[in-house]
Amino acid sequence: MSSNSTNSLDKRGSDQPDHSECMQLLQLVLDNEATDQQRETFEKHVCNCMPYFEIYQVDKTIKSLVKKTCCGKNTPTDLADEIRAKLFLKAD
Amino acid sequence: MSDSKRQNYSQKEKVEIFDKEFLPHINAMYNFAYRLTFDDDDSKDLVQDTYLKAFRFITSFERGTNAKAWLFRIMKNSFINDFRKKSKEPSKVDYQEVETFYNSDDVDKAITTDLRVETVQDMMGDEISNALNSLDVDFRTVIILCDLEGFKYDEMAKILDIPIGTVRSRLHRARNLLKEKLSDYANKMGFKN
Repeated sequence: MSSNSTNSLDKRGSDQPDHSECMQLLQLVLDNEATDQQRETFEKHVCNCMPYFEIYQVDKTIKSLVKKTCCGKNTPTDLADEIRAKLFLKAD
Repeated sequence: MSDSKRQNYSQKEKVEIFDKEFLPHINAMYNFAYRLTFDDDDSKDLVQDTYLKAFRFITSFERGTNAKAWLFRIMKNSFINDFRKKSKEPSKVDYQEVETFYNSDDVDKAITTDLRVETVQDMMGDEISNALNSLDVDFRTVIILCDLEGFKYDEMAKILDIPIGTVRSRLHRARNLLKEKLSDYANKMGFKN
């Protein structure tokens, strides 16, 4: 996002959508926590606002990359058995 | 997280709950432990400790409810109490951040991030992972819970013992910090922004 993006928001007029509200909605939509009405408001805004469209796309991409790349830690194969052994020896 | 009403389970039922509702989450638990500690042995200890506590307090768990969130909450508390306190104080809930966040210029902060979709897509998994790992544990945790594990805000609020408003503001800040790290990396590597 370049400084043009910032300028486009600075120059917004009073008839323009509320960007603060949109920023809150962006996160709700991204996390699938928005109501249908909030989603609709956000989509209308984003269609007319390139900077927010870009932010949304970047956030969505990062979210999906985090999911894809950060959950591959292999659990030691014997861990579950070790825990069960500890527990049920104790419990008996 | 139904931990207020005590359940009356037989030993057989306890073992069944443990095997069918708790153990299937062991991979997610280990991954969370590793993202908290960055150490294989500590992760193993943290997972073991969590499961031993889960069994010890199994009567606080209501069968068929959200076992994964319940286990994550135990792990988060174990990490804070047993693993983290040696090095630093547990984090305190910053209620002020909730009150001020959505009325401040902070909501527009993401506008200044110069990342583009193409730049992020060009990054390898390591950059994303390293950027996430470099965040403070409180910020790292909300991203892990939300983006990796898919918890809802209300579940995260229970796991972390913080209000939903704080979950939202912390998540917003965490994502901005992550983008800053990725942006710095992109600039260093000469990626076109």
